[in-house]
Amino acid sequence: MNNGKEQILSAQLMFSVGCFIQSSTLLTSFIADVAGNEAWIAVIASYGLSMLLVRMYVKLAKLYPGKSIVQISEAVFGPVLGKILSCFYIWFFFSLAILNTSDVGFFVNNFIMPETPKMAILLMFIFVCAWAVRRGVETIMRYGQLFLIMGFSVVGLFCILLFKDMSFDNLMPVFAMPVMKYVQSIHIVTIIPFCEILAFTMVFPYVKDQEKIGRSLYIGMTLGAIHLLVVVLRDISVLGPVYTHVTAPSFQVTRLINIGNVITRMEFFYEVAVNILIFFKVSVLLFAAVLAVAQTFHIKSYRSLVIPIAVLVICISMAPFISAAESGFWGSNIAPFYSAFFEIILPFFTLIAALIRSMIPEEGEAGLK
Amino acid sequence: MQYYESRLKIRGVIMFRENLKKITYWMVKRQLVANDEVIGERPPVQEENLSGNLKENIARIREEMGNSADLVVREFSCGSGRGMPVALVYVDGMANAKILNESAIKPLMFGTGLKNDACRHGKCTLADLKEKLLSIAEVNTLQTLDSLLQGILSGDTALLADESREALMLTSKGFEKRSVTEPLSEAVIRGPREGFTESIRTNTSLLRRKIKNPALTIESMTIGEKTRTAVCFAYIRGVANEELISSIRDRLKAVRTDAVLDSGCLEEYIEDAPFSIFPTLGYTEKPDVAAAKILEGRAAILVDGSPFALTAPLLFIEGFQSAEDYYFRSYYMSLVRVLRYISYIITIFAPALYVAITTFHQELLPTDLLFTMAAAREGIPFPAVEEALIMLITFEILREAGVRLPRPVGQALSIVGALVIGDAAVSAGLIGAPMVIVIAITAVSVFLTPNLANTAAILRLIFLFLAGFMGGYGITIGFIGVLIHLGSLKSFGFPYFAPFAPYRSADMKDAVIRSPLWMLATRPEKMARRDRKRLDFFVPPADGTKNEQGE
Repeated sequence: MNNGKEQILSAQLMFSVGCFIQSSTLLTSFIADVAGNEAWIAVIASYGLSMLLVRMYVKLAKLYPGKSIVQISEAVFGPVLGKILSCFYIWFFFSLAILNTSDVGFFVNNFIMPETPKMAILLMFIFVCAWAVRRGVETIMRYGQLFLIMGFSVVGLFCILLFKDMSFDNLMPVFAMPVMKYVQSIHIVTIIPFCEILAFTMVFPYVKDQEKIGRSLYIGMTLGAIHLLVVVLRDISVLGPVYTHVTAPSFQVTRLINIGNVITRMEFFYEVAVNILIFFKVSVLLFAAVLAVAQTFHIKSYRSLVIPIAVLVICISMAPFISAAESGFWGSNIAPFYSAFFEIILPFFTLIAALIRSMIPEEGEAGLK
Repeated sequence: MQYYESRLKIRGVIMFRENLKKITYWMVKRQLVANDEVIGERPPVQEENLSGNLKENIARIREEMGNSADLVVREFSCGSGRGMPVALVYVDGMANAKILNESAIKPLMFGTGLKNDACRHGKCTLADLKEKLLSIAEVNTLQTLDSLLQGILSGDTALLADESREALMLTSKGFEKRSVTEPLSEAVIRGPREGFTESIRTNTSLLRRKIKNPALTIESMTIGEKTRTAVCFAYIRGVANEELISSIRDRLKAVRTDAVLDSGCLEEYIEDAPFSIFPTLGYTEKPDVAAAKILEGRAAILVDGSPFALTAPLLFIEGFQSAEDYYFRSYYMSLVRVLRYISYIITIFAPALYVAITTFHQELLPTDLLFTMAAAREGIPFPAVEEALIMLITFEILREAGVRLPRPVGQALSIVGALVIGDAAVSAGLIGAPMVIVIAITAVSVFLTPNLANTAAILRLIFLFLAGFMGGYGITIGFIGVLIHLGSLKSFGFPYFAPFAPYRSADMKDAVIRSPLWMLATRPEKMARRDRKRLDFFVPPADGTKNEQGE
């Protein structure tokens, strides 16, 4: 309704990016499978790598200020090819929303409410996400900072409570894996939590201060990376060799908290925090998907699309995996290649084409002179 | 009907708001339009001027007032001799007869300000009387019958003269009113004890006495087709945001209703989120609270006949602030404020959490506690949700009964409440003892945040159902829903949930804790645009070093 009016501050974007990456900490089992006790190396290395990759998004935003990735690809490649690329992006945001929603389903079904039908869980979850998206991007982004602080305080609290269970010997040995394992794990961490912030390229048009987008992304990613690193270090040092084998290491760790039989059974807080964080992530993804559809097909208001797309997300997220283990296999073996196409290759070609485009008029002017 | 259609154009987008608006529109329309005939379309008011004939004017006034018993018309002649025929018109009980006797009738009859022959020859005018004879502070001249009636109905006295198309309005309000007393709803241990009264003049004067600054502006208007209630709103020019003031003015002007009997009647017409369970307008009975809000850049709306002033905009955190926070020292008050947040969370979540844990997540309880609870719940015929629901509804009934109960019956109520429902229900094995404890703590906690109590009662029930339905997951989803709702609410254009979302670090000084007064250097962000500074940099003299230097 007031599409043009909505505005978010660059600080809100920054914290939202941080919060978005934070919400992936539930999925650290992807790396745990591959990198084992050296997962923290993968986190640090892929943080550096993704800082380089994210420069692409920032560069695109600088070339076309006030435009989302869908609008940019249409501006770069023209209406036909641009729309085809936009459809790719739509599918990508949509599929990410589906995957994350199904993760919530597995998490709740496996650890909290085993007997509740998954449909009911997903229905309620998507309901609040759709609600948030209908209220607009402003409302979602406002909560970035609050949720980020909440996530940090929950993790910080658990770190303190688990300090007596930590054994830093578990981090050893270092650099004992074959090189391909490092490549694979770095690939996973780069693609799965970090470069998923591609979804925020749909939020760029709403940012008040277009100049500060880059800064917001970098700082936000740093915050998210710190969170991820702390979580991974904590999980490895507490769980040790078991780390590789559990489905949700961060959740298993909270179960071990026991201080004098008084402070114990803290899973509840973890459950609430994870639900809220993933809610944030899925809302952003759903918003990206819905807005991408609206912009590709030039629909005035994205709000009327929220419910249909949310319903599709529910239906499809019932299906993709039979079990959490299968989802883990997808995460560590297939998703990195699947997502890399959308997160790296598409923006890369868009950027090259955009650069060439930006060069042509200059040459033309030079030729005229 | 245009009015109802314009009401539909409320700003903001809320998921079901459009549909709700449509439903309400049709409901209202069905009431107002029957058989294609619009009910209650008001004829436009015609301005009727006073005629030059005294008898005619008096007859018109009597006719308009329907020959009411309390209308007093005192006709006499002004000055000695034949004099000038004049009439005082007032409503008995509304005007102060003493003032009229001493300051109007006496000088008019025996006054020496005018030369006697001036009146005798009928040459003097009302303006002469006003200038020379009447010893009354406020005297206005008016021409229309409508404003004359309006004046006498609010306690003033009209002075009519023969051969004059004008009338004088003498201020003589003198009706019975309650004196300034301690407010009942907001008792304080430390701080000013006076409260607003039903008289709007007294209330504005109470505000003026708090803020002796010419910038304190009080704008006035009349609302209510039938009641014609005086409504004022007060703000400080230069501190309050102009957009806020103009939006309050516009919204008040748009109100078309029959009656405004209390500020609460007005609240529903001008609030931002009519379909939300959260209030977006605050109210207070204490002038010092109203003054503090005005000083923060808000506006206070005063309604004649209501001891409650509305304050706009309202933020969520104001429910956790109280006047006393600023009169006691900051450490203890910060603790109390944190307690208020905790108690609000308890009062909303306690029954829901109890239900969720006993029904879905027994593993969260330490083993010993689990045994105790299981033993207490043994033999209870109802599931936990039903048990909680019964107790909650009972509690709400008891509370509602207690509020409007004549004092002497109160004891019976507490006996019924405490003994019969609490103790007997447990010993009869209908309700588990832990549930009684949970409901008791829920009931007590709500009184720490009285302004949010109504909201809490509704939220509590919603969360209870969610917990019974989906356990802890349901509570989390409900919590997220409430957060979304809070985050999207606006009160007169200000984000309702600030300073949490959007996060404003500068305003956190007065949100969860109450920082020392000398640290509250700025007014809330965005509330005051131009004049944000509250105080200069100041640190209290520590250690008495100043004294030592002085010696």
